[in-house]
Amino acid sequence: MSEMNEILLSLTQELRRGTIVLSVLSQLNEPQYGYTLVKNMEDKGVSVDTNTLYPLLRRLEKQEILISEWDTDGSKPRKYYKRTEFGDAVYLKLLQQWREMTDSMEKLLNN
Amino acid sequence: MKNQNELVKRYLYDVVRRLPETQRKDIEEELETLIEDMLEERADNGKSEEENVQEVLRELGEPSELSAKYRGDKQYLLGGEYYPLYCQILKIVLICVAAGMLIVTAVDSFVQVGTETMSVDGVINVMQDSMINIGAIPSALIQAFGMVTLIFWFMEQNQVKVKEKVSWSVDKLPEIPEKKALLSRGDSIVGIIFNVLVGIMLIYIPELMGAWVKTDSGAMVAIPLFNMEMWNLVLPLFVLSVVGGLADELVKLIKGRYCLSVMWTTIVTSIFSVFVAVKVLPNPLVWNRKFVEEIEMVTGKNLSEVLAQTGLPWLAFENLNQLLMAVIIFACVLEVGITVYRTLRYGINGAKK
Repeated sequence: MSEMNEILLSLTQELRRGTIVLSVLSQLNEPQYGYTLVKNMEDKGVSVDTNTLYPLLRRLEKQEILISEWDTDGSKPRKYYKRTEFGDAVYLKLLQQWREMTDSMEKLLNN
Repeated sequence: MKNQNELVKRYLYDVVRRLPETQRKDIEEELETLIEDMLEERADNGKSEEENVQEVLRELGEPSELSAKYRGDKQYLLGGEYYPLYCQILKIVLICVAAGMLIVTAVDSFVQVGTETMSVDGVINVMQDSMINIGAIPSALIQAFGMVTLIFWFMEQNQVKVKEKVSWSVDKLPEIPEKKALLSRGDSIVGIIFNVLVGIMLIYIPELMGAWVKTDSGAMVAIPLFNMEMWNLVLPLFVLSVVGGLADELVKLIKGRYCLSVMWTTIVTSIFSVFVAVKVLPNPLVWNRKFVEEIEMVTGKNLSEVLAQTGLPWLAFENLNQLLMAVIIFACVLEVGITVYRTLRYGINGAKK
């Protein structure tokens, strides 16, 4: 039984890993602070490890999909991320892929 | 509070010290705010500040892993592209090193037993020496392992191309070889080990190639067959010939079947071996002229009489060069013959089934 749980856990993780970028991009049409993003996504039922998200945000910034800005107005400096124009285009394409994929998957699974 | 801050600072330091200098400050500030926010969120949960700090840091995970995620670097030493070749090479190298050292140790102790007077102390000395030699094998293996791994790690880091990646196409799929076209891996590996051992012998202990005879006192003495004064002139040719044989076996190991490249390597290396044999062996300067004399001196017997008695009169020293030459030529011709026949018959694509 525990063996099955282990296999299941790794399969689920793999399944989730593919969706992280899309879920993050979907939330960043407006600038957001990293930890708020974690919390918001959690509230919506999508949990991402903080230690995965932070490096991911930086990587996406390096790929010029996101742009960041320090906000020093508050009590402590916070870094906000949002999609670039290029990021918008990537996001829309990715979203389209996702829709097609889920459609076909739905059909496949309802069979 | 101070202690807790200290812990956070140490954590941050441990993460950023593994990162490129230019990114350190930015990432540190970002993580610092994050940790503060995570702590703030937990402020009223009834646990002590220290417990909360530990919990937050544990949630962020091991510093080395976090910085690895930031670096986005490879989490492995060798990728699948190199791994099979790595295993193959490693196996060959380790076997050669171990076998080579074992043989050298064995020969070495044999020689020592031969030269030492056969007292108990002498034998114990020799045994101790061999134990020391054998004891050196593990560290030699580790060294070899390290070198091979290092070379492959370098290749992985730089993505050195082992073979040009040609775009795949259906008609380039290899034919399923005829059973008789297959070359056994075991044979190739034995061949490689044999060549390495011969090489070691030629280079390090040429004076032991010859007759091993007992003196009156019962000790073993080796009378070299070759003229050691000329050895430095002859050795390069012999070694080249051995290297040729080694290359031949390597090609066979890599290809795993008879094919044109195997055929041509075998032909070229065999011709070279025959060339060396024909060129070198007939020259009387190459041989130890005092061979018979020395044996007779040590044993006190007349060699040709002994040979005649044992029914081997043709084994006389004068015939040795021709005998050796004949053996080498015969082996080469046989090898080339089999290879060419099998290659043409079974090894070429489209050959009749």
